[in-house]
Amino acid sequence: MQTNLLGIGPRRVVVLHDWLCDTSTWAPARPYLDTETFTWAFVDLRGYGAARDGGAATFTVEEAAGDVLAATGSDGGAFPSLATR
Amino acid sequence: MSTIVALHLAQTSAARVERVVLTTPPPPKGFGYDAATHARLQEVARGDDTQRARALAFMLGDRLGPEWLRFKLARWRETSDPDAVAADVTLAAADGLGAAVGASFPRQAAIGRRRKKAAWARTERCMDRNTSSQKRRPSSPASWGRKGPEHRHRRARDCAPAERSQCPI
Repeated sequence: MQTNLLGIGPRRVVVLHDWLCDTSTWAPARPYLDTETFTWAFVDLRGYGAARDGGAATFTVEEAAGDVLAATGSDGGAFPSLATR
Repeated sequence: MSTIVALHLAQTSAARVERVVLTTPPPPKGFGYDAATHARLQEVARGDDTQRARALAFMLGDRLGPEWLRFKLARWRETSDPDAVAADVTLAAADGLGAAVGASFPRQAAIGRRRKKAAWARTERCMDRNTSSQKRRPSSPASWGRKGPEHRHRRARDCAPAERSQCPI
């Protein structure tokens, strides 16, 4: 899993990606995102984009969900999640 | 694909998820493909561009123009590990979230609207001028790679207004 952060805002948004793609799909939208209110975490799931070399990945939903949780930090804060198919 | 991940997180880590926004999500319980379709999609996940193009054309029909088809194939090739794609086929096409679906949390789904009338009317107009065997939509993935998807795709393209005068059908 690879995470790319954008912004310094206190509210956190996790942005996932489409099937057969990675989070570079969101590149055209990035200049328009509110980076003062939100911190955006663009997460490439294992097997895709910057995380294409998944290593010993099992590619299960539990594994992916654990990766996304880890990407949000360990302080337990709430985060909205934005996902694509 | 990540829709399933996001919904799973919202249900298993509800205290940390405020809301979920889904863009063109698949069904949370999966597409429910039969075993033959699932097996064929597994082959395609590890297949070459030709197989993938046929699969996309079969699944999306004339909703994906030639340029978008080339773009999607390039993105697939450049960004995706075939093993991950194959695993996600099982996730989205067959398993979904299973019995776990149903927890309550704020969510919004943005879905596109198919231009059924425009797209399919063109196809039907052309197909009406063909034999019944040419009109029949491929009923199983076993027909991929034969005349099905490519045949239908060519029909739609050839029936576009700018090319209608040259339509060979």
